[in-house]
Amino acid sequence: MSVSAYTCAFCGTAGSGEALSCAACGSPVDVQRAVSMSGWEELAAIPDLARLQVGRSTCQIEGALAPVADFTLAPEDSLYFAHHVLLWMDTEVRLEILPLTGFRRFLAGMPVAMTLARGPGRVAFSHDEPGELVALPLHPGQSVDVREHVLVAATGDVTYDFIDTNVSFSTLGGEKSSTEYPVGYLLDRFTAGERPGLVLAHGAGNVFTRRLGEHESLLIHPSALLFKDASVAMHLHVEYPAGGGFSGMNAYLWLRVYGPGRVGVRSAYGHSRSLNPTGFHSDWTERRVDSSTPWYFVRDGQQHGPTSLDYIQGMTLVNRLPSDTPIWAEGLPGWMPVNSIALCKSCGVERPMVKTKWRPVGTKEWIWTILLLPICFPFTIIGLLFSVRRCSVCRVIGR
Amino acid sequence: MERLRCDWCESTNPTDANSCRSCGAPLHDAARVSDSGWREAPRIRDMTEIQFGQSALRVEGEIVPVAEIALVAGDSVFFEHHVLLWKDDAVPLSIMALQGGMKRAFAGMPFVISVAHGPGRIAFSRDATGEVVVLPLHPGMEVDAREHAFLLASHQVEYSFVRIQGLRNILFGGQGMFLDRFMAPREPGVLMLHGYGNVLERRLGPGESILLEPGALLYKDAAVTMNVEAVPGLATGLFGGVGMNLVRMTGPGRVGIQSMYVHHETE
Repeated sequence: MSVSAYTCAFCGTAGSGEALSCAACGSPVDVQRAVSMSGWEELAAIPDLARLQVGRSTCQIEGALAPVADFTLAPEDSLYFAHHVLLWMDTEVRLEILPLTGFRRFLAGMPVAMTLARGPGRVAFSHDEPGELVALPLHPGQSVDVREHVLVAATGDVTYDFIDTNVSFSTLGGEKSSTEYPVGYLLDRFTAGERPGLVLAHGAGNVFTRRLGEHESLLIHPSALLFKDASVAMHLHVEYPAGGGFSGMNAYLWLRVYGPGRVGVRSAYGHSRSLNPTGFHSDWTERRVDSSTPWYFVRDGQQHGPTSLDYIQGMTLVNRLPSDTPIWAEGLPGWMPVNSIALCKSCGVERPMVKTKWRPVGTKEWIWTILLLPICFPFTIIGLLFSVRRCSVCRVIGR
Repeated sequence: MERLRCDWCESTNPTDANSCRSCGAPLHDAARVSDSGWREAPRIRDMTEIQFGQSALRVEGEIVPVAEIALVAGDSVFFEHHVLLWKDDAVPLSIMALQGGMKRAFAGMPFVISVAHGPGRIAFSRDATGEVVVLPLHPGMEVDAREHAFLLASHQVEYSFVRIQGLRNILFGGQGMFLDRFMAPREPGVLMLHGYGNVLERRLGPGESILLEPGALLYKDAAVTMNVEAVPGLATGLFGGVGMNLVRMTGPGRVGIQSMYVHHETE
């Protein structure tokens, strides 16, 4: 029986299809891909004792609860890892320190050095948490961003860098309030050079992946993000539930990710502390859950929509749309640049607020302003001082 | 009469058995051995029954497995009190007196071991994801286990402890000061351990050695020696404080490791 050529559904590596699992990432060949109704693909666990080929070295995965990655290194191959994941090694394997630059890593509490293991010999790694091993083969030039502290090992010719997550918020708790980095302070970025490489990460619990299309967005729990393609952009998003009021005490905090590219989440994640909605935070978008206003926007001369205002605002946050993208919704006099639109905090529902230059307003507006001062205070004052935004529905001048 | 031999514990079983009556290992699964020679501990299937002395023990669950035992009159098991999950009202508990209680107390080890006597049911679990490993002990066998890792042992097993020799081994060996030592002097007994994560075993030949993360050791045969070594050239701290210590295990004998090792700070 001839075996047809096979392309791995997870990592895209072409194989002969003769083995039971993909030689690059260990994903089983003979199983139906398990895709949930919502589009998440359950990472098919690497079968027990499956072998991955990494250059001339091999890696065997052992166990299912807290799996072990057992590498047989060829003489010219090397691996780097954070020292605490080493489980055992042969006596002939040589270890060296791979110093990393970056004082910020030190500040962020991340390892300032990696350990390098040089072949020949066997060396094995595991994480002290139940979960799954995710093998991310990198084609030449490909990059992947991985949450800090989840790296198991990477092949020696994969370059290692880190990027700011730019995702943070301040927490509740009065004097004990602190800045929380739900995705970590830095993300590890791995890039393959001219040769393919392998990054092995550990996801606590089960791991699910999803491939987002261009301009597709998704909200995920910030602490659940395990890895993403470098092309995926992200920012914080806050959702105020209906009836929760604008105090924000019941706000849901999300990480909004934008395609194109893969996103991987883990099902066991640490909980971050509660958000202080009036405190400092990285750039975010906001939404009332009861918002239903359909919005339209223009990209490349074409009208798109209906969608939500925060989606368009988020696209400008991550530079996928220019900040003066024309948008429109029912109630607006015409197409307005997105940066002139905000939420009305007086109506209780999402309404377009049109920012205008300061200009003298009529007596009626002044009376309304003074009457509504207690409701919109202090936004009215700030608004009057700098610019005026007026709700297209309730006509209230706000921030 | 043809009998099935368990290749984990080497006991013989009737041909119609699905799992070994002495250790619970599935009898019809091939042993899972990695290229590097580590053998995975048998995955005891949910609701597998094991003969534990005259009593019957059942392993329940596969994520944080529970060992439930129906003790018959005359049988007893001993354990550390923190692994007790539930028991029948009527099961009497007693305390096993140990030698060297003060030394153990200083080392942070339990210096009382509890004993449960039949008849009645009692169940044990350790509050972490992992595997239960059943090690039947034949007369003459001696097994050393990481402290706090043992779930229960049958009354035929004699319990003692060995002090780890050498200050370096105590400080950086990741085992504390003592290893629990189990042996069955007269009759065969059963020892049940709980390993964090997956458990793997390797048999070292005489003089053969391997370097382990100190927190990974779960059990070893008493003949296997352990020695802590600093990995040369890996100290990065100001005074060379942040080094890496690995423990060198030298055969002959079995070494069992857990993949979710107990993590020790290096500083």
